[in-house]
Amino acid sequence: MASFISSLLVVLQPLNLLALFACAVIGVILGAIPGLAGGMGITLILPLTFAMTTELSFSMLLGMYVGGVSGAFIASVLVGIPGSASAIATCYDGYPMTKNGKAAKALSIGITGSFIGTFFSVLVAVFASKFLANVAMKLGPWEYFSLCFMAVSLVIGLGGKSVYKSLIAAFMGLFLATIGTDQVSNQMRFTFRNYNLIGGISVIALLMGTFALQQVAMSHGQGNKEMPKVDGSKLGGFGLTGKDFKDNLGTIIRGFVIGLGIGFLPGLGGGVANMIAYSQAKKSSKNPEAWGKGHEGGVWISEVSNNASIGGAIIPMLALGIPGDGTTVMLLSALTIHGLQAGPLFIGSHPDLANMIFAALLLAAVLVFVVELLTKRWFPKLLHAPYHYLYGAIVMICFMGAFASGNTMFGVYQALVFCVFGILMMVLDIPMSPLMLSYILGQKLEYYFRLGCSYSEGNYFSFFTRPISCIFLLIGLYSLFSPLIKKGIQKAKARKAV
Amino acid sequence: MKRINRTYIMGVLVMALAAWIGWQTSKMPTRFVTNEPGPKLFPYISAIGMAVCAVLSMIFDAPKEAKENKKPLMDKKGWLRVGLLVGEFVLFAVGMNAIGFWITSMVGMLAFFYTLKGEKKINFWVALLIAVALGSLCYFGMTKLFNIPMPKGTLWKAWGINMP
Repeated sequence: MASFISSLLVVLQPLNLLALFACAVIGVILGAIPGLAGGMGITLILPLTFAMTTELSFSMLLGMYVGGVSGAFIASVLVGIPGSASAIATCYDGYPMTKNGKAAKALSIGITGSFIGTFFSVLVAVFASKFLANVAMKLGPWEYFSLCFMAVSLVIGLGGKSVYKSLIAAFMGLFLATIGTDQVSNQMRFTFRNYNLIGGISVIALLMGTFALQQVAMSHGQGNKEMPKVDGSKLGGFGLTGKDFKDNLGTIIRGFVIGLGIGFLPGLGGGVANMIAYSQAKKSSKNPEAWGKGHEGGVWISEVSNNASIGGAIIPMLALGIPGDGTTVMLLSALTIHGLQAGPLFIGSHPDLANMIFAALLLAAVLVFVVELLTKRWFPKLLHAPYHYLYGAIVMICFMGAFASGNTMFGVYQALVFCVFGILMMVLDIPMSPLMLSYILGQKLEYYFRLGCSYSEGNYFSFFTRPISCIFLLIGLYSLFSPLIKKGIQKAKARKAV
Repeated sequence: MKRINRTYIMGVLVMALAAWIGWQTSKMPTRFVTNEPGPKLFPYISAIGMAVCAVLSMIFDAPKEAKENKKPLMDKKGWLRVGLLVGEFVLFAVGMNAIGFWITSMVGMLAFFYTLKGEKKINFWVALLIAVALGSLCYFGMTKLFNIPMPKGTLWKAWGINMP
């Protein structure tokens, strides 16, 4: 507890607090603008953190993370267009509430639901991460390999429309991870005698190219979308009473548990959490026909669940070094940039920093809650941000970040190549998330696999003979093949019926 | 005109990439390592995996795509806009190297504002002010505040001009 309080005091230092506050506000703004989201903000500020202290860097990054996830509901409620995938389900009832003249209440539910989801999920993460890290200390390279395999398989099996295309993306990520010096034998792979490639592909350049530059280019190609005008004069006041909380307590708890659980599973995050939580709540509702027409529970469940995925995603990131969603991939990269390795040893060897991360998340949740409540009236203005200025500045910052990642123009050229690659992936309908996760976990996958083989004197079956490793592998294999098995069963049933 | 099935194009491209990875991997020098598969295993896994999944995708996904009759991502004009913007990205990178980040950021951002505005009208002086202020803030913030060097421009260096 004393360690936690001293870490909280670090976050409360004026510069850290100011950075946390400023980035949380920017995160809300970016989250509110459809097509941008807080993840973009994290990508852009990541290179700026190179020269900062770890505490200041994480104050900024975590402020942006919490603000970005929270702010996504604003456009969903006011204009029916989700700020990001994590607020798709919020549109179903949030926008009808606005059309029914209850915009102020829908916004208050969104603000409060976001706060409850983030704050309490991070509280759970404080205890669960330490417990999980202690358990993970007993695992060997076999278990780690299987865990990484399971993480990639879950994203492939549950994420995309086509399992084969998701697998192609994952193999591409695995290939990108092999570029550079091999960790085990020091063999150069795919470097073509270019010293810039000895350290491998720059993760910043990959993020800048495939995430930010690609998005700006494609969004420009698809044409600027004008947002409808919203009257902001009737958006004041809190609008929620104790009865509202009491009536929706079951929905809030359900959303929290689903969000936390889905956030914990690698690669899924708030985008999947809000959809699953919404459909579960609707199915179990006494009057499901009211959902989708402005039911308050619809906004509660979506916002609590997508924000609860924050705490869920932080647990495997800190305790196992495995990212829970796309944004935690970037946070994990930030740790690496600052010379830190997330994993079971992290919490034990850097308890102050681990506690500081939790404290910053909790404080960011409180700050975002207060800021959103006080500025609710101005939300409609966020939706009319001038895209041309925003995107122009984003492109410039991308180039700046790509250069700063290695202090050479090579980073900029890599970002350009990855921008074109990202556009090509979009055209060919190959999902990016399996590629990113496989790239981030690729080196670990290979390292632990070869270490496991070496420890067991070349016995490849050792991955199956160790019980925990075997369980992870079976879950991973099930996740990969279950869509195919289900399809096969459905086809067989259809044939029988004929 | 009949549209080309994107899954077939994807399959061919991915198989070509897989073949290239396999070929490059086979050229790696073989080192004797005990009890572990060596550095060639994972590149081979990724190449074989990509090739197999590309074939499976062409067999199972391509007919579905043909049935779905998917809308194209954007029209020809849209692709032209994407091409133009990516061209500007390339010019920005070239400019960064040749005349340095500071000047390129200001000129480049102004160009981006005009490209990205579409049909909208923007005030030139406002756009210029934003480009100069933001470009300078980023350049001097990085170089002076964070001590992260930014490119000063190879041309100035060749001409003996010392840029800030």
